[in-house]
Amino acid sequence: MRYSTGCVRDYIPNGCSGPDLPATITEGQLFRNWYNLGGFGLFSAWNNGDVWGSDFRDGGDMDASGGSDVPEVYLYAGHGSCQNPPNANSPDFIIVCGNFGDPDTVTVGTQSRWGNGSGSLRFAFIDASCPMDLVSLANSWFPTFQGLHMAVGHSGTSTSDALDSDVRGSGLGAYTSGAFWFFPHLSVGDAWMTVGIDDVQSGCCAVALAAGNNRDDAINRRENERVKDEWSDPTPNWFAWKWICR
Amino acid sequence: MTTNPNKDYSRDGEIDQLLQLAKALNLDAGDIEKSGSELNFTAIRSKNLLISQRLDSRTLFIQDFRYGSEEGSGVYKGADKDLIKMGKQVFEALDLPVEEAEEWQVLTEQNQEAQIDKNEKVKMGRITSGAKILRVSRRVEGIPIWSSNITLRLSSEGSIVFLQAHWPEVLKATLEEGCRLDYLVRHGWQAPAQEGASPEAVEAGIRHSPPIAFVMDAYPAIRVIYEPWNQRFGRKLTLYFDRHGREIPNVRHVEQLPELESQPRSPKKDHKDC
Repeated sequence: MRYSTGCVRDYIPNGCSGPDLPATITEGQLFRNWYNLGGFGLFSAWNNGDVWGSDFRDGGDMDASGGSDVPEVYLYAGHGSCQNPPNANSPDFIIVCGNFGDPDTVTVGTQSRWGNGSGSLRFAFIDASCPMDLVSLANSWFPTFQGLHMAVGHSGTSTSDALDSDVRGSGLGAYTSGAFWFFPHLSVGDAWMTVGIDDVQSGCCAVALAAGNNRDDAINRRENERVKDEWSDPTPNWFAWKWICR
Repeated sequence: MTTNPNKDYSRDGEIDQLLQLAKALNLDAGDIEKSGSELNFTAIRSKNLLISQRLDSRTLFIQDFRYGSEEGSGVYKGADKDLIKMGKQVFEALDLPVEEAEEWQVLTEQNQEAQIDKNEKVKMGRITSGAKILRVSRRVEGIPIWSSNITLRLSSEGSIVFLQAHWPEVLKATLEEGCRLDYLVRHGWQAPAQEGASPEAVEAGIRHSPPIAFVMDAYPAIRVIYEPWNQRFGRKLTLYFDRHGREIPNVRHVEQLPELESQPRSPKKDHKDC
């Protein structure tokens, strides 16, 4: 099983609105450390300007040098976007600062599609804060599931935000990689409910969203699917999600 | 510290201590399938249970494998006080100073489902309460220990299905410097300016390596959370400084991190973007 990381620290030096996010680079390194130890194959690991907006847009996401729909697992660490407060029609964004593949802002709900065509992505780990607002999941996230099994992220506002930190990505990597017999090996949902609320402000929520062929399947994936389970791709007839807030 | 003549320091003794710990937490490991020590962990694993302890820190993990599976034990939705009571039992079993517990926060997972009908319309289900989780934060002599916590999940019957207890001992000198930094913060310490963001919250505390780590670092620090000038940017810049306003080293998780090749990424000719 292949995985990728895309981590953006440098916004200001590359001419984007900032601020910079120095912990993202270590976060990617730590995630890769656990996934390498867990026997996963690294497909791509790009930092800063080498992470492109097009990597997350349908079409560009199959780019052989680092598209997000090529591997089975992708961790993004960088800026997202928050509204105050979001509503059901508020878009969710991934914001990179790339040296190619403009524009840097990706509107997830309308531009991202994962698992369609020859796409492979099963697990989208988005540690960017706010790009998974609970109130807008139906518009911003349901359409992205075209074979994708699960996505995790945060719901919040600019006053209930996630802090720039490497502990969430590292913990998620350690708990989901099955790297060592003496580590707990958790489902994606439980791992994110445990580490997704580390280093976040009060009111920020960790969200885990799963698609399923039917209701039971969606719930079973939300609660129990582990990255290494090799379950088949769901037809997104149902969605099940859970969240926990600080 | 001297060797305790009444304590068994052998491998068997170490395994026995983990079993005793399980017993103190009302857990029956059953037949042990695997046990031993690797890196800075020692652990036992049976068909149903993993109990794993760090050798360099007061850190314990428990996982009941039945939790969530078809034969699973169900999630805890009982009274908060009983969950907190089990949390206090964890403190006792691990011999942790309960007076360091700052906040006993019972968090409840919220669940929701939705169906996409034949016309592609979304039928939203109701929000229902799921598992309750106990999170305990830590403060020593008024100083927050940001990286310490206890996370506890119980089964519907009230037995432990997941525990992450990370409560490392803090050196006296580290704590004392934390208190000095707290004094500085309360007496006009100025957070270094950053481009694109302004200081939003400034607090002194102690930062240490996380629960799953192969090393244990700990630093007293002033944590500054910066608010972005452009409010739409999510994920807040957060930096840690010493008394001189210099950034402290990052706490390590492992000894050495994998490096990337330095080759920059170049666009391929077949690159397409919609």
